[in-house]
Amino acid sequence: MKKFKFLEHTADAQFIAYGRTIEEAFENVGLATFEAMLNTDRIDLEEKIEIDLHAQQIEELVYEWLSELIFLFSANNIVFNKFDVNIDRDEDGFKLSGSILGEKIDMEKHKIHTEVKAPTYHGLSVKQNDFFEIKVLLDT
Amino acid sequence: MKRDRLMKINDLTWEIPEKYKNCMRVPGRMYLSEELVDIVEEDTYEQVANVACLPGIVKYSLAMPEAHLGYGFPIGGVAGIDIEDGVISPGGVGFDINCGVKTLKTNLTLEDVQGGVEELINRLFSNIPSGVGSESKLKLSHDELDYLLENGLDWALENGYAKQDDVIHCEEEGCITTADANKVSNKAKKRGLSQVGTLGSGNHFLEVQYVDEVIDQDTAEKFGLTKNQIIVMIHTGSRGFGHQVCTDYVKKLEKATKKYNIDIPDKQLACAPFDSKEGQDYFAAMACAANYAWVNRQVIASWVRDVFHNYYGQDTELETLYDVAHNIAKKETHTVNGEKKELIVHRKGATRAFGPNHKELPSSYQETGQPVMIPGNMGAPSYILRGTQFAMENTFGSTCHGAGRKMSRSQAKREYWGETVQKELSKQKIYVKATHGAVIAEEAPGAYKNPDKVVNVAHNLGISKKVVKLKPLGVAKG
Repeated sequence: MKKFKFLEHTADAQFIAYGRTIEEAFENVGLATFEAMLNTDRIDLEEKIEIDLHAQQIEELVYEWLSELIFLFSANNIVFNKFDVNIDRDEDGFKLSGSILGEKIDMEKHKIHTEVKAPTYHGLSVKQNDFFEIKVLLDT
Repeated sequence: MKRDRLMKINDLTWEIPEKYKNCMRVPGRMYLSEELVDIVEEDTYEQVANVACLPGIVKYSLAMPEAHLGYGFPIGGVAGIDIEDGVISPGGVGFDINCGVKTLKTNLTLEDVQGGVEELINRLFSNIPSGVGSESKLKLSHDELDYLLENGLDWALENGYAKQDDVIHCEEEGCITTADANKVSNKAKKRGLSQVGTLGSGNHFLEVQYVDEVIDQDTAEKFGLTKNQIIVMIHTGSRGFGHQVCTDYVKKLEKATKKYNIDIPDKQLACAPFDSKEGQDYFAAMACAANYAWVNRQVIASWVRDVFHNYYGQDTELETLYDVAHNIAKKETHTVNGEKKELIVHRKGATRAFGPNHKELPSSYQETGQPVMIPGNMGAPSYILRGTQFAMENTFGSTCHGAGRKMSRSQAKREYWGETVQKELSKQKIYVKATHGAVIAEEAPGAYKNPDKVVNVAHNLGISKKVVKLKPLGVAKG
């Protein structure tokens, strides 16, 4: 199954990430976000960061997930290409825990072409048919 | 919404009637030529109509001539909202808070720099951190950052990065005094610590230009601009700091929208009453990001001065013409239906264009109105205009901020190859230095609308008037 598909957008980066499970769809949201910036095949797995997030609704959890990834990238200059998450439901909503792996930006090696500034709620959707689809628009 | 639902008021003014949506409190008004009406995406019209639904909005939901699709507000969107019974919305400011332009005028002429532009741009590129992942040469402590956030250009003045003249020639004198660093998350501060004095990437740039044509001789003289004079334009904003402030407050204000039972047609228009705790907290945090951006551009300007002094000699002068914000919400007094009213004016992808005799302008611009800088693109001219009384009466003293993209980044990369674009530009005697080719391809001149067409609407309408036309000589991009 395809991991994600980029859609045409005049000013920004929009994509749909797919998954057989909601976890896989979230992991592919992470991968597509970094693919919008650079070729993720060039990232080595040298640093690991643990993540714990919570949100009342699943769309909010996508926003939290993207906010966290962009924060870790922007504040620490780390790019990621491996995402391993687990999502649980409790009476307060949804809980995401897991880890992400990547390495410090190397300007020569990574050749980053687009800076992702922020997630947006614009057209953000989570759908489940035969598989999960998460649609995202990033501000770049 | 289709074009045929727009009502033509005159050749450059189009209206979305109040009855188009039930929630609209005022009509929408767009300033476009016939040609631009066809280029604007249909959803942009919808966004103008959505903004008209915000509580407290007065007169019109406005769209400047470069209007294009944004989130919540369109880019080029302007709204004056009553501070007593209206709201403030991060969607009306955008993620890059106080993205803007600082313009420096030099005492060099085209003749002085001929043959040396490539070396000059290379020196600027290596002295000013550019691109994603580049880190500031400044090492600030947390306390210093808090001081900078609340004091803006005064921090730059006290630390040797600015002269008094820089402060005077900056919108708001480089500091919104209601800034409160306690209203900013530690995440935003962490993103901001390492990025003061960095250019960033994407459409941000540092460009060396010359005055190609003087259009309004009298105002040009008052601005200190002459034909063939070398000009430097710095286009950047509040970097990751401002992006995080917006990210944080979209979440907070989304909750506030529900708490105060505000009915909005788009989640990205999340807002809170201006006088509520949530509204005031965002305003105080946004002011920190605005101050951060003014310092960012000033620190870069200071390093630009160092490069010019080292290359052309210590007697080279680089004076600030003006520094204007593109993405901001500010408390301003405007006349509404014959009465003076305090408004929170949201400008998203729009520039303040205050006309003559406004008390917030420095004495040097009282007679002319403020300088308005509208950048073109790597291969197209930029303009310096002046603010007008017509803008004060019709657009809350606002005008357009640029031309805007017409092609997606991925399409631009399919259609252009960075090295080829670089060669084409070099035939026009424009030297481009970027981190690598893909950045140049994404920002190829063909990916942008023609700035002349956008600026002409602003000029012909009278929301700002052309003073000089600038042509690029060299560009450093992140």
